[in-house]
Amino acid sequence: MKSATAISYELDNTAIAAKELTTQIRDKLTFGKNTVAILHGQPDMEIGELAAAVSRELDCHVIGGTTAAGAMLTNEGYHELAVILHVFSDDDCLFSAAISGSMANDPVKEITNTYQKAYGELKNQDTAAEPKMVICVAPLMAADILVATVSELCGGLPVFGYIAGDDFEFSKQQIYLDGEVGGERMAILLLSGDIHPIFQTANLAGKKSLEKKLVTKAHDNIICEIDGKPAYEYIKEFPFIDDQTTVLFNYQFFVEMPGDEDNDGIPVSRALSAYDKETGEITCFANVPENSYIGLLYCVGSDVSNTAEAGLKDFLAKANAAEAKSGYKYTTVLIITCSLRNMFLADMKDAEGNHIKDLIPQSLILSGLHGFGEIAPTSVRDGKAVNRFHNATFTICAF
Amino acid sequence: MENQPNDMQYNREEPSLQSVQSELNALKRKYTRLEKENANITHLYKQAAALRDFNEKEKETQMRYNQMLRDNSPDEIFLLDTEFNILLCTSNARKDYDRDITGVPFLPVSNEKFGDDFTREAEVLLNKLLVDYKNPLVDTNIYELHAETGREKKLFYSVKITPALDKTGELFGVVVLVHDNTEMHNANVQAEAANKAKSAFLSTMSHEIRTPMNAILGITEIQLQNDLLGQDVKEALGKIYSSGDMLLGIINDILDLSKIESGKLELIIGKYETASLVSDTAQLNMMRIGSKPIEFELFIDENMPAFLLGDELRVKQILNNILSNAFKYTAEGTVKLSVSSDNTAENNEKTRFIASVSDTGQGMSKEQVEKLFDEYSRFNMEANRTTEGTGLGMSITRNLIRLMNGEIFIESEPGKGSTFTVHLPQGKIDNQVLGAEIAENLHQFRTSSMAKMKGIVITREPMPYGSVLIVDDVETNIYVAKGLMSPYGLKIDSAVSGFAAIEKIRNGNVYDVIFMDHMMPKMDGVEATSKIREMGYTNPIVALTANAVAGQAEIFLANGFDDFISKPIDVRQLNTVLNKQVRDRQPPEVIEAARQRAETGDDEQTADNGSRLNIDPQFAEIFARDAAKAIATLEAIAVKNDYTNEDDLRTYIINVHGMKSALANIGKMDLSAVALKLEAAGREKNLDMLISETPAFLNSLRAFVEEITPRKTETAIDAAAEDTEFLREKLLVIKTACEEYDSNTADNVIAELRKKSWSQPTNELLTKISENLLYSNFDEVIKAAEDYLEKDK
Repeated sequence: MKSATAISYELDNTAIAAKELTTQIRDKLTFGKNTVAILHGQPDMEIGELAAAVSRELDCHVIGGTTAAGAMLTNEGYHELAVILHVFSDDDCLFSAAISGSMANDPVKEITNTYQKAYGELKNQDTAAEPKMVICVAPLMAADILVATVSELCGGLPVFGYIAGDDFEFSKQQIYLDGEVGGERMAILLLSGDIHPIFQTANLAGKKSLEKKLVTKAHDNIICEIDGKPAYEYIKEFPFIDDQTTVLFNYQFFVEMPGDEDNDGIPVSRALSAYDKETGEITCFANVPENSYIGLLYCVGSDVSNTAEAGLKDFLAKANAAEAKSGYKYTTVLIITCSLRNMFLADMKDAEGNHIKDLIPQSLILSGLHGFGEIAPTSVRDGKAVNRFHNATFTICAF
Repeated sequence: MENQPNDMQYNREEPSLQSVQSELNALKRKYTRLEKENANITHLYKQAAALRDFNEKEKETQMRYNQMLRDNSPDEIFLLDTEFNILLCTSNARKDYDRDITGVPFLPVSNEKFGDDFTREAEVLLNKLLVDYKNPLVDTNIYELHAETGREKKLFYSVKITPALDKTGELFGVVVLVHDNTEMHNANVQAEAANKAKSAFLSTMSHEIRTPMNAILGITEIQLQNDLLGQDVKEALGKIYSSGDMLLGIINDILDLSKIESGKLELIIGKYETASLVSDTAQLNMMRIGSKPIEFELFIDENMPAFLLGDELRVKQILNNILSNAFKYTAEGTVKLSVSSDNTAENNEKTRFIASVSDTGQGMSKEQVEKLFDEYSRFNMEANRTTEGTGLGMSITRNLIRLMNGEIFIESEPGKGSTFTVHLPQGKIDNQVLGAEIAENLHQFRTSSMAKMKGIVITREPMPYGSVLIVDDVETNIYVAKGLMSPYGLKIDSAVSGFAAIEKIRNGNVYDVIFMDHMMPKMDGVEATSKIREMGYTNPIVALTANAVAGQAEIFLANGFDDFISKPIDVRQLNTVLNKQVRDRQPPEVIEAARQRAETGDDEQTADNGSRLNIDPQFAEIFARDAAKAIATLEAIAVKNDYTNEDDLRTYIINVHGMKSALANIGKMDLSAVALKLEAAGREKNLDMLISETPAFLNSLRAFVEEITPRKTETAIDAAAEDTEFLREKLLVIKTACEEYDSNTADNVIAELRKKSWSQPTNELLTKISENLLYSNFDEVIKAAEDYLEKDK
């Protein structure tokens, strides 16, 4: 896979931005037969126009979502208020993409239709082609449903992606494919052919927390009882809990999913959204199943930095081992890191970018952004990827 | 950090409205980002402040708690640096000083209050801790010393010295905890005294209860052997015996449990033979089968170690309790005992003794099994109303198993039976195993023992060659013991005190076994035995005691005793001891000869019994003449009942000395031994012995002379000419005296009777009475007297 990134700080004039980005790409990349581009955009710009312009210029799909906290990542590290274009091109790979309508009413139907459309496009290119992995850009809703539905539709392929973000206003995030754009839509990119993706996740599990307790009653993203008592009884022990009832991103729940047939028991992080003192219920950013072990954790910038560094090192070890084993050469890296991590980094906000700059070799062309949530597999079970929706996690994909 | 735009941007050097707008937008975005970041940092600051407040509060609370602990700790606790300067101490540690002791050296401060000895020892331990605290082999946490101080009263302190480590595990000081133990010490002293009093009470009660039980069971046992009794009397006696036996079992259980509960029961670890342990236990339980149609099976693993290290007595007790329950609650079917060991357990020095008892008895429900180990709980009381027991057996069993770190497992099903399995860790001696032959022999034990044990018949071997001494301060006990031993044909001597027993040994008497009572006034059995052993006496001494509190047996064995029999005397136990200590020490031909004599009904006589000696008549006549002279001389002295006269005493010694030799020459060894003893008593001026034993000696000597004197020389008169009234009167006195075990009176009356002439049958009667008096066979004397009185009514 050939791969190149381009960066532009022009957020107002999409023509200039498109020109800057495509010119850089043409300078860096020898195109193969098939090409696709991921455009990491800012929420406060005409990102749909830019995607359409780039798509026209490069004659390929341009897919993407807006970043949170205004930040982007490349091999050079952290970039603020920029757009980044990451183009993959290869003779032996096929790419297809689709974007849904609004997911507000019937998310499963929209997801299914979108996946089928992308899958149909892939088959139109080569009837024998089958996808090897899926990249999803999702809206700020139904993240769990999206992961579960896509995982089922693709038959257990690895699904990587993120929730598009904004500057914590939760209204300006955009998902786009070529010229189509919307805040409640989801976009799918299927990758097929000679591609062997690997994944790595690094979260804040195990950091300082209250004593872990059992979730005894929950439905969807609502935790009703912890250890048989109203859930609020547990979190009010934490010294920072104040009278606010909407506390999205202020505190972190780290949830250990139970090791049943549906998942692998590897802990994922889950963000706290709100709590209701009267009912004693806690609302989280995504599902928390019953029988999970929950711990309200507090972390500082160094915790975020250290987990990113550890995740990158683990990823490189994994990539090196895979290359040595298969002879396959990794060229392309996507990194999605949670905007919450960026908040906790505070004055260390360059830390994750610096680790990337220091650790990722120039042979691996890298791009990334901050999401409102991350989608990545945590393991493989019975030949199928166990895809999970994460919060506060540093996720890496390479192919 | 943020990368700058590259030169691909539009040309900023030619400003236009669009570029200005673009710059403005960029600045707005920057401003928005900065606002967001500012909000974020403010939020984080708030969190940090909240955390700091929380930590401050926590710290404040913690400090308050620490202060409370320091102020209220009853102990004197000092935190010292490595130079032993006081960094911190509790209020209690500070209160005895009129100055602030923080920062000052600990040792002089300690010296002021706790004194030189304490401080010196503490200094040694403190210095040792500085060296040893990192050594994993040294447990620095258990340094403890005691000190006594105080001018007016003794104060006791215990001191614990532990290292004070910093976060990295490095030593920065030492914590010295001084605890005032005075109250605890005094309470312990009181508790120990109370415990001793309790033990003494238990011991005394045990003795007090068991002594009358001894009489009840012993006398009943003797009477049960009397074939002349009617069947109804025998049945009544049988019931008395079984009830008494049951009562004894209850007493034993209660005493055992009280011992266990007070923590006084300690395991006495020793080497034992596994085969013997299993065989003894099985044997003991055979009688429980009674008339029930129960098949007993015994299996022992041939790979079982031949010897093990453990408390044999207690292992037996555990097995016996479980096995006896199996027989108790099984009406018909099979009881099976399987014994094996788990040699792979733990290490080569340990093994697990595994015994499993299965039965086809009533079985138990789950609820019944759960209650099985409750004290005083009897399984299925309704159905087993007639079954004996206190309900303490299983509780004792479990306690004993726990004491050995063992386990017990129970599988049971109502109506089908139960299986009890015990695992007992035991020490291994070596790798010697039982082997197939012994395992098979034990397996065969089943059939041979069944037949043997069902009738509860004890085969008493004749042991006319044997002699025993029974030492007991209670005449009834001597009577019972003699009665139980009389079927063996032993020569039985007795002593009513430890002093008397010592005298007998000092006088040269040697017995095959001495049965020594434990609790006697003035000198108890342990002390008497100790003194006898000091005299170089090596023959077996068997403790005979009513004190059955657990652990006493071991004390006896450690104090010069060779064996131990609890009172009331169990005839099986007595039989075992006599077989072991008397019979088994004889050459096989002597045993065989005694058996043959018993078979031919000739068991009353022994080689040294002069009455059947084949003595040359001329020799007998000479002896009779010499003896008559000696008897006359000795009687003249004896009648004064005062041996303080030196001349008399010398004459006495010369005469008994002469008789000693003459009796030995003629083959009358038993009387010769008595003469020897009296000679020694004379030389030692043991006047008590001379007074008490001379009449009996003279009676016996006279009787012997009569026996060996040819009939023609007898001065027998016609029966019709006898003074029967005088005879009846004197026999009644003898009978009454013997009923009160007063041998002296009986001996004196016999001497009085001898002075008259009697018919041949009467002379024989007097001889028989004399002989029996010599051996304190009071029952025989009474019987002989009664027979005569009855006959001549």
